[in-house]
Amino acid sequence: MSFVIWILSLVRVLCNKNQGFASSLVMTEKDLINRIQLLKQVSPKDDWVVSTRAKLAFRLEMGRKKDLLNKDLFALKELFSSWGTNSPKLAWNAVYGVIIAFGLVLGGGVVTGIASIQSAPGSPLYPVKLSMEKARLIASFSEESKIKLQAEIVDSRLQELSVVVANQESAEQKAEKVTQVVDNIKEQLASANDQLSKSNQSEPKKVVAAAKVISEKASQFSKALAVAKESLPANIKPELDTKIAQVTETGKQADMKYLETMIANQNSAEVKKEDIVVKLNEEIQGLEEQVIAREKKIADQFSLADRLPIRAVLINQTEQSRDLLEKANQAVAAGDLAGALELIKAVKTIESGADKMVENADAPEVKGVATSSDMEKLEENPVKQ
Amino acid sequence: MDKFTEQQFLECYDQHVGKIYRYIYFRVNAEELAQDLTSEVFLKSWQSLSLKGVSNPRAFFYQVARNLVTDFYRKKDKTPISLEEITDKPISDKTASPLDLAAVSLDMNLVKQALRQLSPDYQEIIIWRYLDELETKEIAEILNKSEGAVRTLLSRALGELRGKLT
Repeated sequence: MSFVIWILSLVRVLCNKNQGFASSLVMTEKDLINRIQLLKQVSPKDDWVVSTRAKLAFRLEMGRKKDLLNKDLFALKELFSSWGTNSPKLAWNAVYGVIIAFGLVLGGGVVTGIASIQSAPGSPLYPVKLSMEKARLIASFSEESKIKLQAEIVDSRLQELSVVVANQESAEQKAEKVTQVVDNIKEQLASANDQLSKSNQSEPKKVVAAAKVISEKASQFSKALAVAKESLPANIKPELDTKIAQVTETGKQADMKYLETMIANQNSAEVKKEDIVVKLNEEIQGLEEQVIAREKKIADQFSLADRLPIRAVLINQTEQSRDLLEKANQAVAAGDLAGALELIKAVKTIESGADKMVENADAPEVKGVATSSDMEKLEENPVKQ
Repeated sequence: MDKFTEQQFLECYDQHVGKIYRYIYFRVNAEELAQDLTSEVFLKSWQSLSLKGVSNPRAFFYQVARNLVTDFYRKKDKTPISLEEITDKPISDKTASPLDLAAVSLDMNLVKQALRQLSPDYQEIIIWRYLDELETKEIAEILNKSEGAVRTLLSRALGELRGKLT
């Protein structure tokens, strides 16, 4: 069959008066250029373009971090060299903060310690407060006390955030302070999640309770951040938006960790199966809404010829997510809670990848695919049959 | 000229990766190798563009790509893949009939084979002008030649390609 098609096409090309072999004897420059432009159809594979971009972005970020680290090390050297020779200027940077905090914890300094506890972002004593918290975390030996302390720290950040939002300050000052809080909270939530993973699973009651507390705090914090974001003008949000998105993501991880912990301990008396089902259904419903929202976005933003290939990839991912969510629903109904959790995790991974693709595709021209201008030119100079 | 930020550089990547890949692909005629060399173009370019800006990043990417392809052939002492090895995957076009697809694919291969028979200088000038649609001025900048010399080269390259296709 393919041989017949090949023969037919060969005859067709040979018979083509404008462009084929026979006509090439009198091929005009325009015909020749049209034929060269057939090669425009050669383009890199979408998945290669996307993965190479991700690798490139990673390399760029790593390079930047390395530079920053080198700068910090240099600054640290400078700091300690001046310490030895001159009386140092007391800049409230992290190094001083840590030294003072350890001094307070070990030596029992009272006045500065109490003062720092009341300090808010932007205050000179705020780095001392953060360092004291770190020192307390290091000094607490049991997992339970560490998680409890982390929950307290998140509470503290929540209070600070509400103070920052309520303060009558310039937008820039406010944004700087919110950023400071957000940076710290992200660290705390990630550390709490990590701590939870290492928790002693022989005490399910404590582990589940801790996971619940962290999940609730993360949720409260996400809501507080949304409020804080609203209090700032749009022009200074972009960087903060990214950080808030990262914290929200960490919060979602905390939520998943809670669910995982409950399912891992579903046979213990402390965990109610109904609670797990409710939580799983909430997750599934949230993801279904996310899929619908992205589907709408695909329809609105990716209908241009420039974005057809990425649109095709996104639609495929949406279908996969829908399919997996359906299976997750079935697994919940069948009582396979661990199976449902795994399916939810798979959908989350797909969704996260799709979100990144949508985000990256906001650039004016999409990664190496045939652009609308290319398509228009091809339409103007179609392959003559 | 300002140095490039990461964001600007990634935007440049999005804009030019397809064309740089295509240029390299036609020069080396192997998909994986074209992918590797294209990645290298952007990594090497970042090293320069993050330290000093350039007025025309596209021309800069092509210069880096050109040097990498030249280095590749020089170091590995490789010759381009033989014509017999040049086969393309069928072009996927949902609107075209199998017959149309076969015809286009066949014609594409003929052009591609003819292009491969040209000297590297002729190949790249045709790719730049008619596939990537660079202006003569921009090609002159990449090749470090006058615009007149580029026009002459282009005319000869087209003449030779036409000869190969007849």
